[in-house]
Amino acid sequence: MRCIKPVFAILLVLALFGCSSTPKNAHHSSTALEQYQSALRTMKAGKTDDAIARFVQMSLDYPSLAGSFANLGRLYQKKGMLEEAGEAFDKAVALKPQSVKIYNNAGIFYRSAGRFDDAEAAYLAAIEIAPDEAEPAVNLAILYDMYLNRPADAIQYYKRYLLLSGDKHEKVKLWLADLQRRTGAVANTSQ
Amino acid sequence: MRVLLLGLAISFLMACSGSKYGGDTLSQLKPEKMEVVEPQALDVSALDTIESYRKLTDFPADNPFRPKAMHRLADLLLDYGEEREVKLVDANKLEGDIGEYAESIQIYEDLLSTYPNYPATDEVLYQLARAYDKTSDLDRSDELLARLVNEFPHSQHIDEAQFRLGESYFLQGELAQAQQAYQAVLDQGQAGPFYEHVLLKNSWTLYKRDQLDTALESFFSLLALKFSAAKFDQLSGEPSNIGKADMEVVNDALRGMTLIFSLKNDAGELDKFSARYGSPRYNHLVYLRLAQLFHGGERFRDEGRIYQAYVTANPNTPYAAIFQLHLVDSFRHSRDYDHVIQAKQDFLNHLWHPETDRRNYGVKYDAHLSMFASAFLNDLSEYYHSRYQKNKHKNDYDAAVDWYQRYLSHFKSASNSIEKHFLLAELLYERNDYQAAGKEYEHVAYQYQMHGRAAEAGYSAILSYQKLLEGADDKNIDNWRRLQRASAVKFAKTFPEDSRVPNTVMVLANDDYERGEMEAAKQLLEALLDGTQTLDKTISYSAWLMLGHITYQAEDYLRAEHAYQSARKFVVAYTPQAFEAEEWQAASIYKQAEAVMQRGEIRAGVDMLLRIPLVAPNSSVVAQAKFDAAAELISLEEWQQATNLLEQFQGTYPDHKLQSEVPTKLAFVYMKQGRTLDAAYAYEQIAIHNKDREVQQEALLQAAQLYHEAENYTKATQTYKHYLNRYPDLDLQTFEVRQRLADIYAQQGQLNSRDHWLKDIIKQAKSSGFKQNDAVQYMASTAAFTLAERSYAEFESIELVEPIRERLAQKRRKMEVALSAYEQVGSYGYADYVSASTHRVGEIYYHLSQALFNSERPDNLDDEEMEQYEIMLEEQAYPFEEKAIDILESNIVRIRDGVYNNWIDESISTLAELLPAQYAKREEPSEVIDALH
Repeated sequence: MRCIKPVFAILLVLALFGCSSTPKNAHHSSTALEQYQSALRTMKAGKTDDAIARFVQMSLDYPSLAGSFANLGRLYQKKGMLEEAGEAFDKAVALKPQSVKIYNNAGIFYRSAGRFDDAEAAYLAAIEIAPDEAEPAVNLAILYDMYLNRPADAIQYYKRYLLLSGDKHEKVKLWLADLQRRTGAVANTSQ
Repeated sequence: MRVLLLGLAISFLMACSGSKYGGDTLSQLKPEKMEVVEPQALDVSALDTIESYRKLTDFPADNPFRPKAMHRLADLLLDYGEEREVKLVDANKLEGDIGEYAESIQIYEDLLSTYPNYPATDEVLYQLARAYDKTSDLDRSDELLARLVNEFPHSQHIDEAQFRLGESYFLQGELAQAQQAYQAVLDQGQAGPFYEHVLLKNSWTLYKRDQLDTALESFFSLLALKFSAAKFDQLSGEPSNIGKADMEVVNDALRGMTLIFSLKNDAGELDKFSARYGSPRYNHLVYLRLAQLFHGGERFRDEGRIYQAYVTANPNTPYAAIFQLHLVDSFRHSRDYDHVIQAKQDFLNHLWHPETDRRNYGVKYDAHLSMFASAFLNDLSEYYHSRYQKNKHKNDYDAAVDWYQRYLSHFKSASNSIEKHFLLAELLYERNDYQAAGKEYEHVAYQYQMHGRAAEAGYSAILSYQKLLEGADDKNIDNWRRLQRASAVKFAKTFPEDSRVPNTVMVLANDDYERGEMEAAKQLLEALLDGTQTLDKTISYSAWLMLGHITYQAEDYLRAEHAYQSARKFVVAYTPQAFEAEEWQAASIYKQAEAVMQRGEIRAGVDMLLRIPLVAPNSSVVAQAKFDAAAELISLEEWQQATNLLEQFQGTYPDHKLQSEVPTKLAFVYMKQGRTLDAAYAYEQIAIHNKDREVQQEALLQAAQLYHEAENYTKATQTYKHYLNRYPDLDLQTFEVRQRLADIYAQQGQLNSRDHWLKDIIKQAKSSGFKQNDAVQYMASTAAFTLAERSYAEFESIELVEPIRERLAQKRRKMEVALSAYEQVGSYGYADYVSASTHRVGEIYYHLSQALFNSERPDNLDDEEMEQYEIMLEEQAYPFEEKAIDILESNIVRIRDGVYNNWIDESISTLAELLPAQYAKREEPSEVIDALH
């Protein structure tokens, strides 16, 4: 029986069924995919603990797949296990995944943890991967606006968001207007 | 002289077997008497022949056959007469003369006178002499023999003629003539049939003629002849292969010789004579016969001299030893006891050579000599021993010892050798030669089959060594002692029933023990305790106890235990002796346990320790054993058993010195078993009983924490408070304890009590020693915040309802208190609490504004008045809201200083209500990450 020293507290639970297989590096093997989808179903069904267990197992079996870590980070975050969440997101980001969602969620977590620089980097990475995706832009704008006191940058990304999302979001338009008003850049808001 | 002739007759008969001169000796012939013999009983053919010849004699005188016929007829008649005489004598019917003899004489005489030139005249003369001899006409017979000798010196009958003449002269006392006749026979040489006989007769004749030396030579030459092939019996000295007749001759010759030597009466003569002839093989017989002669005459001194002479001159013959025995007898007979002793000594010293004798002369000879040797050794040892006892002379002592030792070396299996040995030992002891005495006593005691004196000897050996020890110098004392101990061990093992054994062994063992000679003492005791002895209880107890001490000191604890256990069997329970043995037994087991555990066999050691209370319940070690067992069980993680033992120990030995260590161990095992409350109690005990103040303090804290952990809050608070009372000096720990107390009361909902301790923390944190202590200050900050939070809650709880004025005033007061409290929190300067306090202050203002907006409206206003009232309320509330926004935003600004926490987030949330456009902004998360990536 080969055991790996648990990385996460919850890992202990897995000792029962978690140590039999060896790590697999095949990225999209059918087995990995099935296992992943099964975990996702559990997650969507709101069974948080079960889902955590499954993703931990995935992370052990397929340590190069960032998705597992990213979902784990989100699940831990929901449970308030912030330290574990941070580690999970760090691992996910470290794998440099080509996933906007992963960077986006990592950014939100980093912001909530006060890790503003990491949050900014994550959002920027997301934007770089998928410049057409709207969420990273508005999230980056909020970061600049509320936490980093960089209203000009915030304005730029609010605008970018509105552009990408088809200018439908009234709330964001109000935020933009309010910010422009507070920073004395009202003249530009009409554009 | 009669005897001599009888003896001679035999040889004579033999010598005559081939001639016609048969029959008895001349002298024995009875007067002839004619008797009618029945014709049929006789040889008819012989008579016929006689008759035939008788007819021939009737031939005329000139007939050439007549003399021969006469000669023949006379011979036949002589023979026939002899034959008839023998038969008559045999039938005891001989009466009167035999007629044939007379007739034959007549015919022979006629022949001689008628035919003087008859060629066989010597034959006729010889036969006629015989015939006259038969008829006892000895003179005529001698006459005819003399004529034969003179006229016919070469006749075949010359030897016999001379011999018969010699005999006749001898009988008549004509010794010179007899000797001449004998010499004539002897001159013929040894081959003649009469030689030996004549030699003997000649010797005697010389003797009678007083020619002693010549006679000796003559006897001697006869012996030399007879003994040329003789063998001798070594015991008696007598020849063993000589017939009875020859023996008579020999004895006669010896008698002659001894007579001569006895006449000379000088043993030296015999020696000289013997030497002259080269000490011939039969030499001893002469000495023997001479000695026997003296013996017969009760001349014992002379007898002795003869034996002595032989022995001196011939010490290497087998007869020397035998003669020495005779010599002893001679001295005894002459009552010369000094010489008896000397002779016996000489025998033993010079003549008795057991090895050589057996080899050379055989078992019988050896046995004979050994028998005497044994007797002599016996005699001599007793003699000298008895002399020594009388006069105490060392010479006699040495002699006695020597004779005893020689006796024992040669006759160790003799029936009295034990007695001899014992006497030797006694003698040695008497003379203070204790070393030798001890050795001999031991020999007597142990080298023989069991006997009556064995035990006494065994004991005497020990006493001998004791004597040695008493006078020993440093050089020898160890050796003597070793010998004595070995002897005592042997004594005890060999004579287990002897009543002297127990005391002897115990005295010696005790001596060894006191001198630290443990091995020696042990051997003694083991000999005593080997199960063969019947010992009284006191001895048994002492012996086992001592053996126990010895084996204990030797670290042989298993044996020690057995010994002590055995000792206990011999004393009454609950006596000091019983307790002592029990105590030692317990110690032995304890030591065994120690050793076993040192080898790593902990479980086995524990079992041994736990055996102590069972087998030695009264020993002082019991408590220690239980305690140690518990400690070892802890190392084995046998929590339950360890706990039981410790609890038992605590209850059973309240005053034991180890009691102070028990709570620590108990606390540990309780903890291990999850028995937190019991552990807490145990720590309380440690806090009370342990001598180390630091340990006490730590234990008390531990106790409180465990009560806390076990959710026994009453005990926990009591104990924490007790801790603070007992250790009032401030340190980080006492702040912690205060915090715990506050925590417990908080948990219990006893907020006043909680606040008491929080305030105490704040108060104590102001002490000079802790103003700079970050941990304490932070703790105080937390306490202040908690207190502030309560003020905030109180402020918040007041609703603005009628009577509104009073309520508002009340709320304003609570607000002041809360604001002041948060201000105090902020004064500690910890970022998170600054954020928290700032947020709370913002919240207070926001809450007040909202409270005013939502306050109960008076019910007595009309619409206009109400409108006015609402405006007034807004005017009242609005500044508070503005102030709230300012304060909350000031919190957010801190993000720029790198401060970010939940309180700031909370402020954002509150501001989101107040300024939604600016602050109600939430990121948009990506929900599920669908792809693997």
